[in-house]
Amino acid sequence: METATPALVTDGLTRRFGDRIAVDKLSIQVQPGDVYGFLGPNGAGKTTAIRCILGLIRKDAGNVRIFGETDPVRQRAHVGAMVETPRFFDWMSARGNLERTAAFAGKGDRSDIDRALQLVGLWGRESEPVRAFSLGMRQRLGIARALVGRPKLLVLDEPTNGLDPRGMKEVRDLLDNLAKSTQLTIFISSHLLDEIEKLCGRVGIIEHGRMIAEGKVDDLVAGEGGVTAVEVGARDRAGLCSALEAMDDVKLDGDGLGGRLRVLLAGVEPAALNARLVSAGVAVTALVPQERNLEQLFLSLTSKEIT
Amino acid sequence: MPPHMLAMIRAEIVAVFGRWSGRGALVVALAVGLLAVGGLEMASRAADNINANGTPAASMLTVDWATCVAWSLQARNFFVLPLLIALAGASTLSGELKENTLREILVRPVPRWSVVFAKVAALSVLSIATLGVTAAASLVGGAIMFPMEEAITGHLMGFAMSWLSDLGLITMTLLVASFSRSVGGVVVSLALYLMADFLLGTLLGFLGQLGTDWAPIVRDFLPGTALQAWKDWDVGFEPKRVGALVVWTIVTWVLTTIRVQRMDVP
Ligand SMILES: Nc1ncnc2c1ncn2[C@@H]1O[C@H](COP(=O)(O)OP(=O)(O)OP(=O)(O)O)[C@@H](O)[C@H]1O
Ligand SMILES: [Mg+2]
Repeated sequence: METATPALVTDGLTRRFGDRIAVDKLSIQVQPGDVYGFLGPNGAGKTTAIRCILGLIRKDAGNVRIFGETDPVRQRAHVGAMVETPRFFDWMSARGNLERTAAFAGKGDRSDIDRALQLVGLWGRESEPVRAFSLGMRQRLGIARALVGRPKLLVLDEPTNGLDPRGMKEVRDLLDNLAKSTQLTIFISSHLLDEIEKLCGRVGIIEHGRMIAEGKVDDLVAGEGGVTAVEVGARDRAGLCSALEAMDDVKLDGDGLGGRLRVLLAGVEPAALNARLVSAGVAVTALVPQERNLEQLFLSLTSKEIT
Repeated sequence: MPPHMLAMIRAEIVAVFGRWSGRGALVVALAVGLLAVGGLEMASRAADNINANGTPAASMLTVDWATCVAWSLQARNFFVLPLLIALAGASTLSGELKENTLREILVRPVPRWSVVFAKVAALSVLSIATLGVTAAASLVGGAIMFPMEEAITGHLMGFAMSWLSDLGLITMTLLVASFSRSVGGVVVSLALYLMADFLLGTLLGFLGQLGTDWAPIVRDFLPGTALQAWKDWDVGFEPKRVGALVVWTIVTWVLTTIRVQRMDVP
């Protein structure tokens, strides 16, 4: 079935900063038309990987292919990108900034720029200097800039950073529409897991620069070794707590409702947990299974320390 | 060469002239041209009333169109405009590195050498524009105020050579700028270097007078001395200096390109 050239392939991508490995033999495949979520905790190496893919920084090892191209300049002809917080010439108008981009892209005429501005909802503000723009407006303008020249692959590094809930939903709907209506392939890194879950077909989760889980969102959440969350209640909360902490396939995840404890289970059935607790002498008063989602998977897979 | 090189250069020109360093350079260029006209007029009036050792000072000063243009050329290359052009050069690279705006064009399908090329081209357009404004102001003002007796071909060659000197200054600035994210730092280190270069040049000049034959050759090849190639406009350009200027321009341009090509741009 695999006939189409993948939109993006990285093969053993590696980048070190001194002794620290920021991206470690990372291999990713994104098929055309996919919306691919690139997840990882702070410092996992998402931005560094994106910079390597875009040729902004040197890679120490590995290859990148974009629509089969190996030449970096030709690769970038297919790509529109936004890396971290988008930056502009503040003294220049929004349109002026997009015209500058179009000049360097070698494509994107006036109507193309108009369309990009309309898509992100900045139509009517385009002649104002960017200096006057709020954080959210800059973020949208960054997305508009990535769309100039109608790229086939959109690479977005935390595109909803700084947006309010409504803005986030608008951007999500925008990307969703673009992906559905124009066959655009989107590679999107994010912290906001429910967002990725709603938007993306496939996700890759990285930590310490390494891929630790990859697949369709549904498969990952439901799959073997998937994670369940439960809330456990007991009269003796301290006893419950220490009993739970003694188990290494169980992770405490804060407070639940009504004094219960939120717990993440890696491959443990809730009934088995109950049995274990009872045999440890804890009188369990409640055991409430929680709906599984990507967030629980993410939390269970990644450790909590920040590197 | 990217097929859209011209569009890139145009975009860089818009950027260079949009920053205050670029606009300031144009304003100062106009002021310098007008100042040469006003300065010569005031000097000629003052000279009419002064006697030096019995001879009237007015006889030592030729008040004509050519002198006016010569003054504007000297003033143009004295410190302020080169400084503003260096500032414009530093802003276009160090400034863009610091503000992270360079990244936004490097993610586009352009090789990095062509980005350096577009920046050099845009800055040399700034240089041409400032030279043109100064020359035009002094030519027009001088023609109105003073008699047109002498030819000014040499003067115009001086302006043309100033452009080559500016180009050298631009590539040197960009080379320094590719190592720093501080616009001020770049301009200050460049100025310090040129001062050191000047002192060294003076020292080598002394050595030459004392009979050391290699000293003047080395002096003519110093980057700072090479940048002064325009100064010989009235006596005929020194091929060694012009050659040194061309060599330094190419060397610093190539080094800048190599440096930018290898640089991590966050
Ligand atoms: N220029 C640099 N010099 C040294 N270390 C760096 C540099 N850039 C990134 N790192 C390190 O590489 C690791 C990965 O950083 P990166 O910014 O890619 O993470 P991230 O996944 O994007 O994190 P976040 O979610 O916070 O944006 C971090 O440990 C970081 O400290
Ligand atoms: Mg990041």
